[in-house]
Amino acid sequence: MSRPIRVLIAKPGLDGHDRGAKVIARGLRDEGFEVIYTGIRQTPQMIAHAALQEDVDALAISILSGAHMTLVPKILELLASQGQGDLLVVVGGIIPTKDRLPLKEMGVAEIFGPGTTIQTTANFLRSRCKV
Amino acid sequence: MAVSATELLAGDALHLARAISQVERQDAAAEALLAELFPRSGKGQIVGITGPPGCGKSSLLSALADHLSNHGHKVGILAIDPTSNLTGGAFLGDRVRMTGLGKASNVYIRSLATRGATGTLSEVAWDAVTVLDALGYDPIFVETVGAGQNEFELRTLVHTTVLVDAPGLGDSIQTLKAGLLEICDIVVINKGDRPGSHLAAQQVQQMLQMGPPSQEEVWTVQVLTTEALNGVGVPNLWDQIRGHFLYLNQTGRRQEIDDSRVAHRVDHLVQRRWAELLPKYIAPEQRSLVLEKVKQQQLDPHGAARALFELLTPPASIQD
Repeated sequence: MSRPIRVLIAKPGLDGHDRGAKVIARGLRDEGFEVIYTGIRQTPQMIAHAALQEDVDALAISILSGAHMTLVPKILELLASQGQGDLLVVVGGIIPTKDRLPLKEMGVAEIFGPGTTIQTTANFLRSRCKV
Repeated sequence: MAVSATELLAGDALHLARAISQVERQDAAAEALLAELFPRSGKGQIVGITGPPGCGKSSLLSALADHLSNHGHKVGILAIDPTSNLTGGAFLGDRVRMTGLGKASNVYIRSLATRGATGTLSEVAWDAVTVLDALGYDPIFVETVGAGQNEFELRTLVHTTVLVDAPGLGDSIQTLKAGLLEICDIVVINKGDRPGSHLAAQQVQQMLQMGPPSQEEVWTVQVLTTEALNGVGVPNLWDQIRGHFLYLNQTGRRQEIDDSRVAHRVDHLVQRRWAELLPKYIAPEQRSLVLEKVKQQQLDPHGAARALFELLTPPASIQD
C-alpha cells in the first residue's frame, strides 16, 4: 500500500533564518509529503534524535550560516551510530560550490541551492525514497 | 523490513520507531506484531490532550513530559496533526514545541498524520498506543487539535481527557456550547500569566457547576491554571491526571472504560473491513448508473442509496 513519504526538515546551529525551511515544508506538504519540522537552533544530537523517533524516509537540512562543514558531518556520524547510516540526507541553503563535492563524499545525497523549485526537490525525494 | 516483537521488547529506540511505522502501514506484518503485543498492553494510563489551536497543548505536554522523565517515568507522546484531503500531505509541527526534550531517552515522541481518518484521530493512533503500552510506556499522551466536534472519538481511545484552553479565545458564551466541556476530566487554562486567565478559569468553573448534580462517586472536573513555558502548575496538573486514573481504578470505572475501548475498536475495524469490501458488492458501473439518475433528479440520494443496497443479497434471516 502506498503511503506518504515522511521528511524531517531540520535547522541546525545558530541560524534563525527559517523562511527557506518553511517554504520547503509548505511546498512538500502540498506535494503530498508528511513534513516534520524541528524548529530553529537545533543541535546535531537533537536532529538525529528526532530522525530516529520519527523514523523518517529522508532528512532535509537547511543551513544558511556557513557552518555546514562542521554540522553536517556531525549529524551524519550520529545517524550512522544509531543505525540510520542509510537514511537519505539532502542539504539546502547557502552552500559554496567548493563544499558541494566534499559534502556529497560524506554521504549527502543532493544539495539544493537558492532557486531550486519545489518540484525538483519533491521529484528527487520521490525517486530516492522507497515507501 | 518487518520488526519482530522480540527485537522490539529488547528496548531499542530504532526498533520502536520502525514498529510504529509498521503499524502505520496497516499490513499483515503489522497485524502479526500487534497480535503479539496486545496481551502485554493494558497497563499504562492513556491521556488525551485536546483543545483549540494555539492554546499551548504541545508546550504543556513538553513541560509535563520533562517533569515526568525527571521522576523516572517512561513517557510516550503521539502528536496528531491533520492530513490535507486535497494533497494527502501534512505538516507535523508539534515537535517544534518539544525541543526542550531533545535528548531525554525515556520520552518517545511521534508525530502522526490523520491520513484520511474522518475525525481528528489518526487511524493508527489506537495501534500506536498498543505498541507503547506493551513496551511499558506510562503515561501515554495523545495530542489532537480539538474544536469540540470530534472529541467523542478521543474518548474511545483514552482513560483521561484533558482539555486545554487559553484566555482570550472567547467569552463565557463559548463555554455554553456542547462538546468539549462534556467530554473532559480535567480543564487547563494555559498561558496563566496572560490577562484574563483567572476570569476564563472562573467561567469554565461556573459552567461546570451548572451541570446536573453529581452522582455518589462521580469525578469532579478540575479546572487548573498553568504556564507551560516556565512550568508553573505542571506538577499539580500531573497529580490531577494521575489522581483521575486512581479514581478510575478504585471505582471500577477503569474496567468499564477498557471494555468499551476494545469493543469500540473491534466495531470500528469490522466497519473498516466492510467499507473496503463494499465496492466488490456494488460495482462502480452500477454506482455510476444510479448516480446519473440522481444528477438528472430522477432519483433522490436516499432512494439511490436504497437502490444500491438492494443489490446486496443479505442472508435470508435478515430480509424483511
